[in-house]
Amino acid sequence: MLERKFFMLKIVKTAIFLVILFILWVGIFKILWIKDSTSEFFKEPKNTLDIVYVGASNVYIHFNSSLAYKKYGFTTGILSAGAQTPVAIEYLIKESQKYQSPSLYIIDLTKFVNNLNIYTEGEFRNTFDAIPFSWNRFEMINNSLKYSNLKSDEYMNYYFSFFKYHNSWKKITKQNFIEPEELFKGFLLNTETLERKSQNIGYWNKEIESLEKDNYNVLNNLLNYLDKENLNCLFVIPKRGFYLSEIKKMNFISKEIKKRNYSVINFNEIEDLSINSDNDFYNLFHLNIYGSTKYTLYFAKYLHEHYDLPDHRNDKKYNSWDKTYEKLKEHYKELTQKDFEELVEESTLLLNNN
Amino acid sequence: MLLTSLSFLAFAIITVLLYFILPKKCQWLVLLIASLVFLFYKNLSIGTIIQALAVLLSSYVLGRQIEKNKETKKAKRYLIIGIAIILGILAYLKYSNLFIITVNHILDLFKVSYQFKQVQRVSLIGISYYSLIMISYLVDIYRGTCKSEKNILKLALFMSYFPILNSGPFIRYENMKDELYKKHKFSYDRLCSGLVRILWGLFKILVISQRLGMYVDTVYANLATYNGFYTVIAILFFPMQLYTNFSGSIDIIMGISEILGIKLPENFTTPFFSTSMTEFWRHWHITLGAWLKEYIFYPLLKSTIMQKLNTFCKNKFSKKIGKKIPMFLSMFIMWVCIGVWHGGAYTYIIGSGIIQFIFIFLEDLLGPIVSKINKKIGIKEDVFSYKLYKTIRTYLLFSISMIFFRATSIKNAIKIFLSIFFYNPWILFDNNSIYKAGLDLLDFRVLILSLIVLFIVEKLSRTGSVREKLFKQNIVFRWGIIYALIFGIVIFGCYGVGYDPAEFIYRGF
Repeated sequence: MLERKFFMLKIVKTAIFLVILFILWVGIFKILWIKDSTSEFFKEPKNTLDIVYVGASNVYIHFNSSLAYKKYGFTTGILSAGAQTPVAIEYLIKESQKYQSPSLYIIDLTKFVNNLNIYTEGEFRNTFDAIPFSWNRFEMINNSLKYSNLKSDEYMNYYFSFFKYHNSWKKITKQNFIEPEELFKGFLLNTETLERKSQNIGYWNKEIESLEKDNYNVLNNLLNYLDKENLNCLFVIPKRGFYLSEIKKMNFISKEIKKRNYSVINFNEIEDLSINSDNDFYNLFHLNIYGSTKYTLYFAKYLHEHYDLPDHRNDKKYNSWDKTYEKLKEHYKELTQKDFEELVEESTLLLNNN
Repeated sequence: MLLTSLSFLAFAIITVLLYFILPKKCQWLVLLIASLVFLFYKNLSIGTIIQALAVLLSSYVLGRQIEKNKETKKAKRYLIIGIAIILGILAYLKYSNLFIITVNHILDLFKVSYQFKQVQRVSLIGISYYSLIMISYLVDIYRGTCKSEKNILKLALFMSYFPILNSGPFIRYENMKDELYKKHKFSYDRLCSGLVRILWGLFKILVISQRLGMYVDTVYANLATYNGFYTVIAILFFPMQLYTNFSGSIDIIMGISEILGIKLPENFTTPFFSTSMTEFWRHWHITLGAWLKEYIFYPLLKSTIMQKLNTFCKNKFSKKIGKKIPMFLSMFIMWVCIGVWHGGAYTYIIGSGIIQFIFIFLEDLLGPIVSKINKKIGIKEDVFSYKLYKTIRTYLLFSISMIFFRATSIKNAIKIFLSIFFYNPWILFDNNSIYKAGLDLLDFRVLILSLIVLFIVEKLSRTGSVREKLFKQNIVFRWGIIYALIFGIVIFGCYGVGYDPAEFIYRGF
């Protein structure tokens, strides 16, 4: 009897030891990890997002979710990472379903036209690192990396991010200990996105070019998954510069998606957006804050009008969205000495005139 | 399978779980299967199977025959055949190139232009360990100090027990048979103690050894850029790198063995506190030294030739010298054997063999003279400062010998040694030069801090087991230390992206 009691005590002790170890582990690696848009997504309380917007950098740089909330009251989770491989999208949706039950998924199509083996380590990590440990994450990494030139024994470094980030203790700064100052519910605002650089954005060609077999399969698998889960989904081609071959492939993708009864919006063909290539880009592929404000106002209005999205603005549970918008305004003021509301008003006016 | 890899972690966990979950009578079979997996991991071929089977079968059959034919001449014949087979396989797989290099040098001397090509042979992990272990098995049967094993599978386990294949320690059948084959109960205390020892081993390898290696490798690979004080530091770092790497891997396997309930002999007992080279080798790779003494040094010393030499020298010189000459001759042969065992290269024979012998020989020769001089000029030998001087001197001597051990060739070793004399002491002070040779300022800080931790632990271990002392402490302190160790390894360890996997220096032997 006494022996049994003693044994139980040891089990309890071990359990406590492991729990403390886990807490310390999570805490320490939170400090060492680089915080990005994806990690912002997983901070949202369960079942509080009305839309989940998935895709590469065009999502977190173009769509200002707190502004959309401020205007129409619906919440959009940004599940986006720089150069996010399209292979990951299916798994990211699966992952988001564990925490959220949105009424709409928006999928950015940008990266579907690129080869699947072009991604660098950093780009892969942007997509994988913030995803919590699960079998789904393991599958996402395996399926994404199989198109790369990596050997399978190198995958381990991606499964366990601490293999990479344990070494970042050398680069620890104040930023590691505080909430990211440039991210607002996933939306990025910094000195770079404030720049205005004139771009040569060509017209949208109507020609069609087939996708590579691998890319086609990835798209097909994603559509099959959406069908299987019966998810409400909208695909978008963001306003940005595309190379001619990319445009042709994008037309092919649009056609294929429409065949499966999903809607596709090509923002490059929408004149009403009022985005001009002289003022609204900071590089060929990304809108600046002026362009993104127009894009958000236009797209949020479209979503409000075409989908049955709730208005949470008077719900205390969603206070964090108001606070984020206020922080965004402060940050904009800090960077430009101007009022963000003025920019919103100007953009609204311009959109209304169109 | 590297001891610091996740695949080894998974392998060890599965082995331990099966070992305690399955019926106790199966425990040794679990170990045998695990050992075979470890032995042939990524190295399974007809050639490697034949290598292992040849050693196992010859040891088994000849061991039985030696026992059956005890007290007859046949026993000796069987013993010689057994040793010849094992050494033949070892020499064929490990020393072919040493032989080819030697022949090529001789051909060079006679100005023959023909050169034999060096060969690549695939040998099993731990071949140098299990070969010597099996030789000791046969000799012990011959001497009657142990009985032959009737079950060939049990003998296979003794030969291939996976924890020792990586870097020892050397085990003897008589001491291990009960440990390996008896039934072991799971013990929570042993589990905790074993895990702490594994953590300590990982700390030594990943935090200290790998970090030291980053500096040493950079300097040794770029002697044109890094010379003078850069080389001096690299030379001083290497013995510590070797020690933390080797003793760290021993800690990991001892920890695993402890969890399984199998006691292995210690291989290191704080060697860098030694005040002489003789003492140093009593604390460094203890089981190899013991093996060579038992199976080479003493048999040689007692051999007829040495006895005759003893008598001859006693008559020719004095009783004292007569005793010393055969002893040093046997010792020289033993040290050459140590050098040869370390690998098929002259650098090993010189670095870990002949130079060590010279130092020990000189210590024995000059020790009494120095003591006499010290007495005459009033230098106290029993004070801390003198002991400290002798400890530092031992470390320096070992560091110098290790130049050969670490170098790629004798020429390279001489080049390294000569580069010490390049005058550039300012690199220690100016413009962070010292931080450009593989380790930056932060790495140096971590290194110094972890070396202080190592020093404290080593110092404490001289008065008893540090783990026992730790487990006597209150829970907050005890857990604090363990958490610090875990996060010290995880955060400051040199592993993962940007680092080469922790290769074990002693693994190649």
